[in-house]
Order: sequence, then C-alpha cells, then structure tokens
Amino acid sequence: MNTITEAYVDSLAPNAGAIKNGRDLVRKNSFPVRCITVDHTLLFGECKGSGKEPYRCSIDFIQEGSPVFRCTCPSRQFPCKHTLGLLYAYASSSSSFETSDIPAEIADKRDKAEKREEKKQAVEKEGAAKAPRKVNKSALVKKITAQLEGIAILEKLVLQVVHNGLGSIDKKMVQLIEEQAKQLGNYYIPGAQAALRELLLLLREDGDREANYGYAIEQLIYLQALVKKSRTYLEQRAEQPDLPMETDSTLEELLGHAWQLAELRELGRTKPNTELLQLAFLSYADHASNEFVDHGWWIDLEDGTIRVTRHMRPFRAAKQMKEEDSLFSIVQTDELLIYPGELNARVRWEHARFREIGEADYHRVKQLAIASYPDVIKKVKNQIKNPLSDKMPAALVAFQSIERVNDDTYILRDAQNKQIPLATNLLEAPHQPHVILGLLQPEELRNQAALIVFRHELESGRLVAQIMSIVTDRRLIRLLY
Amino acid sequence: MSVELLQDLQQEVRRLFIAGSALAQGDLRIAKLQPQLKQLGESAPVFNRIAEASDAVLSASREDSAVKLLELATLLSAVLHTQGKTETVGELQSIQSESIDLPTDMPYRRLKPLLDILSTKGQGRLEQLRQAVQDGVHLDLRALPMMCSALDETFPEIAELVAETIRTGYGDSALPLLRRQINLQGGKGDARRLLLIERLAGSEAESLVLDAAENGSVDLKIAAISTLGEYAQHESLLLEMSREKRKEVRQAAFDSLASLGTDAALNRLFEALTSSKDRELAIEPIRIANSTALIQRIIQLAEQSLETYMRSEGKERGAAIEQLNAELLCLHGSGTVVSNRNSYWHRRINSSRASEALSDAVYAVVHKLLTTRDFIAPETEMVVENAAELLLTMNTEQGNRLLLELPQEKSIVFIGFRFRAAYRLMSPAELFRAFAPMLETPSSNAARELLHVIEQLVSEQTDSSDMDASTTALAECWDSRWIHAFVKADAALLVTQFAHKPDRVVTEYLTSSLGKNASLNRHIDQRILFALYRIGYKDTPELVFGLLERRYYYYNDDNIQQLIALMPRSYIPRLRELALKPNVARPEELIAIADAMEAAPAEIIEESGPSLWRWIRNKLS
Repeated sequence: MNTITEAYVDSLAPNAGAIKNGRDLVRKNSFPVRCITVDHTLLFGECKGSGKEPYRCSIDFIQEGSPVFRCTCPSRQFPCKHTLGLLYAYASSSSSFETSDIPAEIADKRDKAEKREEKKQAVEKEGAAKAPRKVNKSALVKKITAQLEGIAILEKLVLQVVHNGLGSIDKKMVQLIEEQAKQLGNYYIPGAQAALRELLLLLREDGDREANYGYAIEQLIYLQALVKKSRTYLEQRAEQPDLPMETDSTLEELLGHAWQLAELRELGRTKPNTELLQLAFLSYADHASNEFVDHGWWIDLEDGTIRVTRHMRPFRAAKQMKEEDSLFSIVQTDELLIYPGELNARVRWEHARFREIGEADYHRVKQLAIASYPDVIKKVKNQIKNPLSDKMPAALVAFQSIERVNDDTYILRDAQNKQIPLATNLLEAPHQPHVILGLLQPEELRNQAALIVFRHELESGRLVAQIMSIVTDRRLIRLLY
Repeated sequence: MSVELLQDLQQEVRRLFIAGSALAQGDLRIAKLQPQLKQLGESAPVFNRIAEASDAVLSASREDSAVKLLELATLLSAVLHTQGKTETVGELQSIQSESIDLPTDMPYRRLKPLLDILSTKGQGRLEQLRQAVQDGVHLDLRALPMMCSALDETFPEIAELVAETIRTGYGDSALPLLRRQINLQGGKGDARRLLLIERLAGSEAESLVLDAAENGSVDLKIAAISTLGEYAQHESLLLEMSREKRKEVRQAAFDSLASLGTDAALNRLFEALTSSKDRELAIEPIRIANSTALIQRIIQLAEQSLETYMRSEGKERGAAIEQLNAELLCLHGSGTVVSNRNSYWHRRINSSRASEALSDAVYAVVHKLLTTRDFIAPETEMVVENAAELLLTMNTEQGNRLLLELPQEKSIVFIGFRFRAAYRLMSPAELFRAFAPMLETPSSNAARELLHVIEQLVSEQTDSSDMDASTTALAECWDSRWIHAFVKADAALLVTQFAHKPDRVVTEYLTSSLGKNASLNRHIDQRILFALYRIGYKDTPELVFGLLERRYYYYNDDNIQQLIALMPRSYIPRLRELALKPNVARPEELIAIADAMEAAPAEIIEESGPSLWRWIRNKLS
C-alpha cells in the first residue's frame, strides 16, 4: 500500500467540500472503530452517523493504483466523507488502527469484484481478436459534409466582420454573431464554435474594447487559418474516408474532436513506464466553451518533456465531476497516453501509482532543464509563428540568476548572460509572484531551474515569460499553484 | 531585420481592421510603406512576400478585401511572432531576498479559497477565514503577503483576526513585509502594522515607534503612544502628547501615562482631572493607575468640590457638580460603566483596590455628601447614585447603614440601594417586615422598583445562566411570606422562583397564570411549569403534555427536555404516540427523549429530581 499522507487523501477527494467534511469527522472523533488488515490491503472502520447505527466504511487497496471505496451511508459520492475521514485518521495516526481480520462482507465483495474483472478481461480478449472498429463510411461522409457547411458559415461570418470593421460592431451585430455561434452547434465543430465564442467575449467587453482590438485581430487570424486548414483537410477526408485522422497537428482537436483513449492506443500513441512530476497546476473557468479546466504541467523524469494534463468539467455537470488539484507525489504509470500536440502535448493515464518525491528527483529535474535560452526561444518562436498553434508554450529552463533591470523589469539570465523578460499577467492568480520572489532564500534565486510559460506581447513586441515554479536541489517552489 | 517598419505596418493593418477592409483599397498610408518594404525585400525574401501581400490589399476589390487583409495580417503576425525581443537594456540589480522560511505546499483547492477571501469583499468571510486559519492554510509563502495586506481590511473583525494570525502564525517572518508596507501617514491598517512590528521586533522598533508618535497620522500616533507606557524613558514624550490638540491622541497618552505610573505621570493625570477639557478622558486612566496616593488627593479634591458646589450659584453650580461627579467616578474600579439609570442592565460596577485601601476616607467623603443638608436633589441625582454605588461595592457595615438611611421619598432609585443594604444587614424576617408593605400597592412606582430589585438579587444569587427556567431563590435567605406578597402583587416570575413547597394559594395562582396562549416556548410558562412540578402539583405532567399536543416544538431545548423528562414513566408510551403525529417537526428528537427516559436505571429514578435529569441529559447529548 502507498504511504498514506494527508496530501494523498486530498487528491482522492472529489471536491473541497468533501475534504472539509472528512477532516471535520476526524476532528470530532467520529471513528470509534478503526482497523487495518495484517497484509495492509484493507482499511476499515465505523463512523458515528446521525442515525442509530454507525456507518461502516472501508478502503480496499487490493489493486494498488485504484483503491475501492465502500460505505453504508446513503451518499452517492465516492469517496464519501466517511471513507475520506477514515483515511485522514490513518494519515495522522496510523498507530490508532487495530490489526484485524478482513470482515466477511468485504471478503465477499472482493470475490465478486474479482470474478467480474476476470469476466471483463475474457470479453475484452475476445473483442481484441476481432478487427478494430469498423467505420460507418456513409455516416462519416455525412458528418464531414456538415462540418464543411459549418466551416463555410464561420468563414462568411469572419469575412463579414473584417469587411465591416471591428469599430462598427454594435449590439445588433453581437447578437447576430451569438446566434450564429449557437447555430454552429449543429455542425459537429464544437472547437470552432468555442473559438468563435472567444471572439465574442473579446468584443462584448463593454469596458475597454479598444484594448482588446489587438487580441480580436489575432482571434480573427486564428479563425481564418482554422477555416482554411480544416477545409482542405475535411475535403480530403470526404473523398477518402478511409484515411486515418490527422495526428501531426492538433487540427482535429481544434475542430472539437475529443480523442478517445482507445483511438490513441490504436494510433500507438502510448509510452510505457513513465514517471511524471507535477511542476504547476491551475484551474480556471473557460467561458467560451462553458467549462472548468483543471490544468497541470508535468515533467517526464526520463526525457524532460513537459507534458500537460487538461481535465474539463462542463459547468452544468461540474458538481458531479471530480476536481483535480495540485499533486505532491510522483506519478508512475505503465501506460501514458499522448494526444497529438506540439511542445507540450496533452497526456492522460488510466492507472497510476504514487511515490514520494526525493532530493534525487529534484536533481534529476534540474539536469533536464534547458540551459541555453537562444535554443528554447528558437523552439518557442517556431511554434508560435504558426497561427493555429498553442500560443503559450511552457518549458523548463535553467537560470544562473533572477534579477531586476531598470527597477521594474524582472528577468531570467542563463549561463551565457542571455535574458528572458518576466511578466506576471499571463496566468491569473490573486497573489503576486514577484513579491514572493523577494521572500525566498538568496541561493534559490541563483543556479536553479524554472518552469516558465511564454507569450508574445503584441503591444511591446517582446517575447515574455511567467515563472510558474522554481526547482531547487531541495524543494519545488510553486509561485502559481 | 527592420522590425520597426513591420510594426508600423502592423499599426496600419490594425487601423484597417477597425475601420473595415472595405475601405482598404488604395490606402495611402500602406502605400507609403511599400517602397521601403520592397527595398528590404532585396536582402530578405520575407519582406517581399509582405510587400506582395500589401499590394494585394491595396488593389483588392471590395469583395476580396477581407480575404486579402486577413492574408496580410496572418503573414505579418507570423513574422512578428518570430521577432519578439527578449533582451532588456539596462543595469542589472539583484533582488533582495528576505529568506522567509515557509513552504509552498498548500494545494490549489485549499489555498485558492483563502486567497479569494483576502482579495474580495463580501459576507461570510470572517467564519471562512477563521476556519482556514484553524486548518493552517495560511502557512504558505504565497499567503503571507496577502495576509499582511489584509490588515487594511475595512471589516474590523477580519482585520483583527488577520493581525492575530500574523502574530501567532508568522511571527518574525512577517516583519520584512510589514516594514515594507507600513505608511506612517496611513489609517487603521497601518496602525495595526505598527502594533505588530512593535510586538514582534520589540526594542528594535523603537525608532519607528517614536517617529510614528511624533510625526504620524492620528491613527499611527495613537497606536505608537499605546506602546510607550512600558518604559520611563518615554515619560517626557508622553507628557508632551497629553497636550496635543486631538482628543484621541491625548486619551492614548493618558492611558499610557497610567501604565507608566511615575510621579510626573500621576501628577499630569491629576491636573487633567481638574480641567474641564480633559476631565472625562482622565477618569479611566486614573482608575487603571490604581495609586493610593493619587486616590487620596482626589478624595480631598472631592471634599473641596462639594464645598464649592454648596457655595456657588447658577452656572458655577453646574460646573462644580460635573467636577464632583468625575472625581467620584475615579474612585470606582477600572471598567466601571455607570450609565443612565434607565439602562440599568448595562451598568457594570467594578471595585478599585486603591479605594478599598482607603475605605475609611472614601466613606468619610461619601458620608459628608449624603448628609449635607439639601445636597440630595434632582440636580445631584447622578452624583448621589455614584456615591451610593461606591458604598454598595465597598460593602462595609457603616456604608450599608448609611445606605439604609437614604431618603426614599426623594428618589425611587434609592429603594434599590436601601433594599440591598438591608438585605445585608437584616434578618430575613426583619427584611420582610421593613419592605413588604411597599408591595401592598402593587401598581405604584415604589412597588415596581422593589420587585425589580428583588429579581436582580435573585438572579445574582443563582449560579446558572438566565436561560435555565428551573432556577429558584435560596430558600434559607428569604422569609417564607414573600411568596404570598408576590402572588398578591401578580409578580409571576418571582412567584415561580420562590415556590418551594406545596401551597394552595400559590398553586391556584400559577395554574391560572398559564393563560390561553401558554406555550412550552415561552420562558415564563416554562418557569411556571417547573414551579408546579417543584411544589408537587399532581396534574403538572398532564399540563405539560397538553401543551406538547397543541403544537410542534424543537425538542432540543434544555428546558423543554427537562420538563418532559420530569414526567412519570407512564407517559412514555403517550410520548411515543405523539411523535408519530403528522404535525410534529422533529419526531426523532422526541423519541430520543422517550428512549432516554425509558433507559434510566432504577436507582436513578428513585433519586429522581436533579440526578435523573442529569442522567437523561447526558444520554441525549
């Protein structure tokens, strides 16, 4: 069984409310019965409830990476606050747990689960022997035709806006675009729809529309590029529906395709035996696609690639979905699934184990940092010059020093005295990263590594970066989350 | 690469995007840039492509203009994205690092809510902040600066909690930020910063504190002065501050002078007491100083003020009485609040150790006051009351005797003082004989005042809270005839508190006092029922049950639970039946009570009374 720490339990919780309730239960001494089996694969106990009978809850670690939560309470959430509370109790005082035999009812459940798993694997084996899913050609062509129609609508709209000018956009025009955006929902291009909504958000700012013109123009450029590239791509596929989907670029995802894990496996986009360390985390609301996004930046301890996890929770369904959080352990997975992408491809995994971070890991991360700024800047510029690319690539860079220039500008300096200017407005947070720099130890501002995210500043013509985290020999300093 | 030219072109493209590509044809300003573009194109091909794209815009028809403009913009944007500058010209300076020893280990889900609390306004933040601090969320480097900034919060409770947390949670680690943030001309937030810095840095903060005291804004001055009462070396500064124009500053100085307690400090306080400007401000500091020498001087001063009053006329009289009143107030203990008679409940009288040490002298001056002919009059009401309160607090035999002699006819309030004094001096029977006759005209002011005082005394006697409806007066201290006097005077509350043994008159009175609108939620009805139980009225359980049937209650009220628990066991099945009725709000609570009653072991039931209730209450909690 993994070492159970508070942070580990936090990571299992579906949301902040469950964390609070779980902790409250422990604080109020609600667990009179706490047990652990001799082989340490099962934690179980009783929790005082509001009714007559206490709730019986348990956490089964028979499959290390995926614990099974069971509880007799009526809550539909898993893990419920009782199982979380029991885990917190274990994290803070494992000695208060009595060694005991596995209760009969749980042994029964385990048996049933095992049988179910065996059956499932047998079916899967059978299924795998068959050919990969057959594509219904006519349905596909129908879909592509609809997509092309949607693209055409989008193009017409974009050209109309450019033709009339941004200054002429009044309430009526905004309403029209809104309606069109809604309409696009019928054409299987949700990604393009969201991009149009982005434009709307920029135009709808009643406050300072002028300041947004630059970004609006960039968004129009993006939309036009999307139109052109997808039209070529879709027309090709309409003629040859058997062609595999494009994976050299992110075009499919930009149109709105949600890659299934099975698809990624079929395309061979997996990597075995990977260890990932989370360097930074952020959660934000995307009003263009109406969802919450839990965004993590990770480093692959083997080759130093910066990977990204993106967990989307549509506003409407957000309550039922698990919220992700900062993670303070190393993730080990036998199968890392990699989405088509650029410098920071999106990844996912189904099963994972956790292990504690050690100083050796921090050393490793520093070794993997890019030492030469001209190198990384070249890579970044190469990506962002493409209108459809991810405009905010992240990289782990080494720095000789973090310093100030002219009193107000902060910079990173590499060993050859090349600089990268720093900004604080690329990713939103209520706290000030540069104030926090001033609170660190002096050696932490010298000869360390930093995870930074780049962006080209339109107004000033500078390529700036924001520091998300600093990696030293002893710790990870999160300036973001 | 001539980036400026491209940026100029970018500006023109932006202009056209805003105005509309329909107007792009033949645009002059773009045309002007063409020659330069073409020239540069000779050495760098990308400029040629840009020149071509601009040409296309210039010559496009209205229908094609949007496409062409977008093409130009796309190309231009791509090129500019490769030209981003990363070097900054200028002198490199190192960043000052304060080496604060805090981790950044809080996960997003726990840290973000705290940061949101500190950066927004709105309801409910105090409780959330308290919880977050209790969970230790603030012990993260990212929260530290925002916590320090939150000292400027407009909600004082939040700001105070923040200050407390900074002091206990961060301690010295917060000093660098606090020093950086403080503005000596600031407001309450900066005053809190100063206090924190002084608290954390001690003597190292001295120069800052002195600077604030002499040159700061009013809020900063007050905060600084409040810390200067510890050390004699600041005496002269404090004396200076006690003469400042602003009242709040003088007050702060007086407070600190009181802590200092040196001769010069006490002299200044005495001086302040004699000035009409600072008289009020000096009272509490004088009490805090607790100096018998000072109190002695004030007693002498009071005697003089009395003479002045008797001698003078008109306006001078009014001034003298105010002076005398202030002097008397000094003789009370710190924190004493003697407000308007009508708000008796807000009155708080504390005793002063210095006055107690000089009790004879205090008695002497009060005696003079109260026995001087014609002194007791409506104009001197305040002073006389204060004097009486002093005697009451000091509780000496001679003081009590003097109180007993207060002329009741001159003021209703004296009844209270007389009665309290009499309670101390007389036997219960004597007390009854002396005061019960007043109750014979129950509607008179005198009777009402007397009942009021008795209620207060009884409430002071019982240890438990006001909420407990089963409290009684101590039977040994009171004559048994009081209860009938209370019945005659229709003083229901007192009747319930004095009912100890069976009595037909009392029973009849109590049962008839349970009016039509009686309810288990009304405090007086609860009291009546407890009293009926106590005196053994056999139909009490039925009365309680009747009220239970009438409507639903929240059964986790201590009084209601106890009233039910006092029922005999035969009622348990009826209670369970009642719990099943539809209009009962929380049947499980009622059932829990019935269960607890049923589960009570035999020995406890035999004892009945308080031990049974304690057992049941234990079971229910």
